[in-house]
Amino acid sequence: MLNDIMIGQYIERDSLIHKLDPRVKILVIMFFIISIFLIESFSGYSVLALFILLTVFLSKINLKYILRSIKPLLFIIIFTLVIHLFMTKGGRVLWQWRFLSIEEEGLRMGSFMSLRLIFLIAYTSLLTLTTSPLELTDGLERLLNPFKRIGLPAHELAMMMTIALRFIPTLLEEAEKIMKAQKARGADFEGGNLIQKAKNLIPLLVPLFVNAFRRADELALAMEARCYRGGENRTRMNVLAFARKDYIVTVISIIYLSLVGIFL
Amino acid sequence: MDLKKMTNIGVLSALSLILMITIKFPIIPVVPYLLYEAGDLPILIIAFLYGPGSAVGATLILSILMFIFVGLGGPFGAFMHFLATGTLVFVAGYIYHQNRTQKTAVYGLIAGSIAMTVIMAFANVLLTPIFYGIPRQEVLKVLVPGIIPFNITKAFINSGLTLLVYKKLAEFLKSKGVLYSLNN
Repeated sequence: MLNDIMIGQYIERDSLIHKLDPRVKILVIMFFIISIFLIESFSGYSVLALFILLTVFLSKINLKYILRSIKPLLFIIIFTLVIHLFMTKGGRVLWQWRFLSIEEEGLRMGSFMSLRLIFLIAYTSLLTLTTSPLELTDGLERLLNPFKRIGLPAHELAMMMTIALRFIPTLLEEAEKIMKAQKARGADFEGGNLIQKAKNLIPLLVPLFVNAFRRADELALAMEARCYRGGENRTRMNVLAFARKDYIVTVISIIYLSLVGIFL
Repeated sequence: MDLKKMTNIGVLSALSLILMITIKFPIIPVVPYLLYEAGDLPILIIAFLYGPGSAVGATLILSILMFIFVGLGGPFGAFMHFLATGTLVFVAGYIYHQNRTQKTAVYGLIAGSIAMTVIMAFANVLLTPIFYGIPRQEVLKVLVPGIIPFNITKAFINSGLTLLVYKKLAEFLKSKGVLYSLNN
């Protein structure tokens, strides 16, 4: 059951996009999202599609991975399209049968909204496909640093996220072991109605929690023994540093996306 | 921040993600794409142990991890999840920490479940048209038979499980010095 779960989405490649500073990628994604909501025409979408394809090309990621990321949302995308086709009225009638009809405006709106969803998912999935989780965490901490001034614990959040990242594979393995052990003793995790399903989860949940707390306890002890005392005065083993290509990509992308959002 | 608190929150956030991807099934036939998942349990435990602020922080971590690892629904799914779980754990944790008793834990969970349902009803009406482009009247159609029952059911299952798990964990946590004696 757990074998078909893909943990993580990062795909290692030797490409320009992979080498970019994670802060650049996060900022560009944010501009992309703003831009896509400002666009109101199909010509705007064409230009945006070029931007996406260029990024995919530079990242050397096979297009099938992008398509795979769209798959979970297929239901909503098709749902949106169909709803607009039959509910949105305006313009010439393209097709009609009894009380059902498809009109020009419905087709336009349906296509428009569906494309928006597709572009959004495709581009944001590029971030996770080309950036490792640790890099992302690092980038997020640096981007959150300015908010320290208003009391946001940026370092602590980043540390907790790093701890969480480290323990995901470990706890997943543990969950699998516990599941198998309990099944070997007759537990049934899939049958029964809602109440039975919930009750049957207890033999899995309690050991998982005990394990998690025990590991957290040990980790705290180990960190303390290695003189961890908080974010102040710490140095960093992997330092994020902007290179020339980072500045160039940032400027080009932000200008491009701003122009697209404003004029198209 | 206390080191043990930090490691506990980190590890429980990881556990949240794992529960989210390993335990999930549809519960309302009208909206089959809304899946119940048990990821709220560890966050609720954090809310009871460390308070509403820490729980919202853990929810933020979970939502980011959700986006990084799972990708379901992209940034929108993660954001909606942050709204839903953040509301539930904040209200529950806040009420419980006014006066730490089993009774206030139950009150907190009930209030949190209701608050989450209300917030998600508004969020779906306001944000789904923006995020997914689905017309608002269509969202309103599915609101009463689908979205509201889903959130209520999910919240109450998670609340019930939290109480059961918390009860079993209490002795273990006391021996670890993580959980202090209840007021009653």
